[in-house]
Amino acid sequence: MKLNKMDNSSKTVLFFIALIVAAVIVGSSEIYLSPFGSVFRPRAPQINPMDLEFYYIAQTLISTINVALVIFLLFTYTNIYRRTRSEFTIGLIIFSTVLLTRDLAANPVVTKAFGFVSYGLGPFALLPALFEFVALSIMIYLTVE
Amino acid sequence: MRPLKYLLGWLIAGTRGGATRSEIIRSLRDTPQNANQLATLLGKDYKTIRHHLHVLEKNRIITSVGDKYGATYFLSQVMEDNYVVFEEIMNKIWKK
Repeated sequence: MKLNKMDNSSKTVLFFIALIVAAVIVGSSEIYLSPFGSVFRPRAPQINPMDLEFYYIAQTLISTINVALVIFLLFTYTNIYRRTRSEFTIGLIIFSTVLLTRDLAANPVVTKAFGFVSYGLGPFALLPALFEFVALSIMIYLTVE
Repeated sequence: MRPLKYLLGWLIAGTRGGATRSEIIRSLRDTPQNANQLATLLGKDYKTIRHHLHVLEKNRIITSVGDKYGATYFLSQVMEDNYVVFEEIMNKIWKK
């Protein structure tokens, strides 16, 4: 079947599958092909010269703010659901609940409570939390607009 | 009109002001009117109504004719043509 003859939903499904396949290939190549060794190979602790304490303080702070933002979204969606009983809103509630568990699992305060410490990440300790903060801010803006 | 369905779903069931927005859409279908008339009709604050009108117009659900304050608001052509999509969403939302 020619690509331009396909209807829109088959194109969407195909695009989705292609993305997943690409992700699996990139992810597994990291394990099997990387010249620097797998990300999962046990290594002796080493000090990353780029590893600044600031990154971890900022990460802890922003991650905790993110948890608060997700809780705010969750409450807002729950309120909307109470009034609308909309399935669409149930989806948003489930989405923000799962995101909340993710944020709790990734929060350094929680990690530390379970006896684990992350180190050696350099600026990448901070960046995921920072970008998620931006994403959540946009989501909140759109939701309360 | 699936894109319109998603947009309305978000504007009504995904945002805090959704309930008021649906009332505005319904009222404008009955009678095109200005912000002041809508505020009186729906018993809402004038500024709230103006805010929602702005959001709805930005999303091309409604259009306006006239200068800024006295402007009369109408449903947009797309919304008028696909009003059944709006009704479907409203039935699905409030009947359960």
